[in-house]
Amino acid sequence: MAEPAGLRLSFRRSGGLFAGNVLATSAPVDDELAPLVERANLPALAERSPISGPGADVYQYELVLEDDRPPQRVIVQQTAVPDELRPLIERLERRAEDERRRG
Amino acid sequence: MDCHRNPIHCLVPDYLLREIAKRGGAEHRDAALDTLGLSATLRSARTQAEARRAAIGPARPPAAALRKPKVNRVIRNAENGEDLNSRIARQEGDPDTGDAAVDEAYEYFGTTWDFWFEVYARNSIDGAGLTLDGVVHYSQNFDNAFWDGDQMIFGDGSGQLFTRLTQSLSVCAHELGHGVIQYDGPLEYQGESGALNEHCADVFGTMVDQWRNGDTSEDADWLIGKEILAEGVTGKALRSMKEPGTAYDDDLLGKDPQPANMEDFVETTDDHGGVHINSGIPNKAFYETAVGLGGHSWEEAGRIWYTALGNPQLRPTSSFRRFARLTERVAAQLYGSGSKQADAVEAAWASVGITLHRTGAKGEARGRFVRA
Repeated sequence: MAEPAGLRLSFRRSGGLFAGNVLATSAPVDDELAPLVERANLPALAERSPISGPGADVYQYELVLEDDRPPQRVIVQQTAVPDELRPLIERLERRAEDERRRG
Repeated sequence: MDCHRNPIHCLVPDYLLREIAKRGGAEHRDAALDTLGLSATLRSARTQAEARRAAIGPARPPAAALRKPKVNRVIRNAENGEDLNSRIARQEGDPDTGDAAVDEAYEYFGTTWDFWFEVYARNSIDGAGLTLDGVVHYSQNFDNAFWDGDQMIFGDGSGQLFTRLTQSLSVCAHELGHGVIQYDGPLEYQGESGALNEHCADVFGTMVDQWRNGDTSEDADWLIGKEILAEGVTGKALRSMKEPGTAYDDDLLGKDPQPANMEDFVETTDDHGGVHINSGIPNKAFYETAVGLGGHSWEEAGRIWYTALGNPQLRPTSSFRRFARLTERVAAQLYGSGSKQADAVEAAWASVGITLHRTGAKGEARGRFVRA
């Protein structure tokens, strides 16, 4: 199922051992992201958010899916990332790291 | 449980067992400790930890009272993948491997285990000899180390922010400290209780570092992770417990956001509610306590904090204020009401904006909001 036009996804990774290592990106849901967004089923995860897991110094991921409806917001801890969400997080993390490297 | 062999095993409530363990002769003390140990399914792990610590007592050299158990370490090499069950690279008794991350983790786990046993008579993370499991070379360009609830995991760093995270004893001891907190606290990893969780891990991390070096509180640098900042990063460490907010000021990382006073408490949704940010406030209070008392941090300030962590009055969602009250109460129990130790604890919390005895005073003012 194709995502509605105008859909935008914001990603933010914070936490870890150290407060200063924040990684963020925001992008339209393009052809590359659309299948990953669909697989993740963010509206269902948003109902369970925040999704916490065991441990400490783990990353916290925050994803916000925005269009003309109320945004779907998911906060999930690194040790509790559901399998269906993992590919989307990995893709967004790489994208945010590339952006940070390029400055 | 054998009720016929020793009536102490059946009838005596916990508080009396703890008194017997503290004051009784060797036979009764052993029986009391056995009973507390045998009742594991009926009592919380935290109550047992408190009882065992009370039994050992502050004045007695703790290691002399027990037969020394042995550390057990297992270090796995993820080979830059993310398999936490990867091949074992080194385990207890094995010689150096020549792989720096493997050997550092092995050595620093050992140093940390020695600290816990020799200073507080604690046998490993759980107090019962738990194997220290670690995974090194985790993932690629991974600028983090974490405790996953069972083991410690270390990245090699990206070289842009951090270098190999196993290089830092304070980081290794901090991660192992999260395990101790999990067994003795626990402190929920969110908001103020999460910041207390981080704070206690920093306390344990710096104490192990200072103990290894023989530093007094006055002479110690009070830095966490000074060994791992990459070349080119403008800063001295991940955090400064002596001067929160001054550890780094860098183009890529920004400025160290840690506050040192409740006036500057940061409200944020990042980082599990700012657990690595607001930990600066209790970190500063611990530093002030230790320096105020003089000597070595682990002798008095550390004992007070460690005992407070295992106290049943600590709740999983405890606030800074509740923890502050508890440390003061523990100081009074260990050293006497009106003792210099209790006064030092009260003064230290007051210096970070948490006053404990002013009638009607809230004792703190909340500060900044970083982002929605």
